[in-house]
Amino acid sequence: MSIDTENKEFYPNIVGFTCNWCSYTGADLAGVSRMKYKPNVKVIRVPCSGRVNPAFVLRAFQKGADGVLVSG
Amino acid sequence: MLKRLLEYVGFEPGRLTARWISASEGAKFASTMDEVTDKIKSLGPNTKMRDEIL
Amino acid sequence: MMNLTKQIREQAKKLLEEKKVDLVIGFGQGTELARTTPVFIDSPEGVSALTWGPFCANNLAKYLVDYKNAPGNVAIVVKGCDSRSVIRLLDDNQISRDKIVVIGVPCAGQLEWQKVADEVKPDATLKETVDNGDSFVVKTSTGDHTFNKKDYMLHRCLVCENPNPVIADFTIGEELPVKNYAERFAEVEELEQLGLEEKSAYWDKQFSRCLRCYACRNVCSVCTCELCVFDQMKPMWVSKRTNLSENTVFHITRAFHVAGRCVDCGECDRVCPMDIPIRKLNQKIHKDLKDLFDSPTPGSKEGLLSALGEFSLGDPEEFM
Repeated sequence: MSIDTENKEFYPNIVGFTCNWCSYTGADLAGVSRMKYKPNVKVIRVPCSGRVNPAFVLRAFQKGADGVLVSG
Repeated sequence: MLKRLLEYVGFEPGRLTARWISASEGAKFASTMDEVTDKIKSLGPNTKMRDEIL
Repeated sequence: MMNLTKQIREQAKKLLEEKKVDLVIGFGQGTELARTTPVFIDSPEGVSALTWGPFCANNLAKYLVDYKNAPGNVAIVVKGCDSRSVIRLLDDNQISRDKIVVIGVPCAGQLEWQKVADEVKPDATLKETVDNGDSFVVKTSTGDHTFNKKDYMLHRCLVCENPNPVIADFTIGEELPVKNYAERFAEVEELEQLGLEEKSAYWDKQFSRCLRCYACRNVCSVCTCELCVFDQMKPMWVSKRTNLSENTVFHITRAFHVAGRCVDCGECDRVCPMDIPIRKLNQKIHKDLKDLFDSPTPGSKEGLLSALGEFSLGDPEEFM
């Protein structure tokens, strides 16, 4: 199997911090409703969006995220 | 506030997004995913503050 | 200035003799003419070590934290900006009000010691300093020097908000009018005007110099966590490596951690051995807090809640 790196389109890595009770459930609903959306957002479940520390965001950028989404 | 500070030290605005999505808004979740992905795609890869030694 | 020094000494002596306090924290003459050192006095005979002048830049309020569990009361000599730190520490429940005695001194501004040291002969000894409104006259054993406040003062003093202590049990000398020599956020606005690339390059240049000596953290009067996130090993949010990436994280985290509590005393800037303009980060937050929540400088009033620590329905939500 070979990967064509030359023509590969930029695939952004986005980290999404989602609240267990809001967005994570919202994402679940989007899933069971069989909606289509882009797969770039890597969802991380947090107990509440208030759990998200600025350090999480910085750490995500540091370790390779191209974008960060905080939703609650 | 963190967004403003990140822009101040040279991050592109839009790298960090905050949204309110309730549990009943599956469609909003899907549209937000698309919106954010498109925005980051247009910004290109993040180079600032990347930890090279992994 | 000699008069003020005398009054501070008398006040300290009185407090110690009456056993109202067990310790007085104040400014003492340093080894160099233009520098002062913190002095800790526990007997009435020692008060002659206290001094006052345009070289008392240190913020002594941080030392109060060291004595919060010690028996006995502590008196502290504060300037206007330091008094904001004292209020902040009280509001954070770091110290109790009945354990401290605040000796407030209205401050006419502090000179940047490097600039003064450049002009005064190294072997000179300080005789007297006189405040002439817009300048200080420093009388030394090798002649008199005049320093214009506009050119020789620390930047934080040019934009001083509280020359008079906002909290004080005793005020030494007369209250001074607020006098600003520069626009408070002029430097921040200048930097905001720059393009993205330029901003990024500017801060990369600053942050890459950082030695991670943590002097800015240690001197900060609102950094009172018992276990600092930068010392924490498990989980290790910020690694110990000194590179641009980690340094950027360190500085942003530090600035954001004190957001809404930073009293803008400018100590972080002053102590930085690499001259990183750390205060510009804090000032940016101050500016945004002012723009968004119209909040006054933390510590400028007693019982003020931190802008980021309270919520009201009218708060702007620019991220929605």
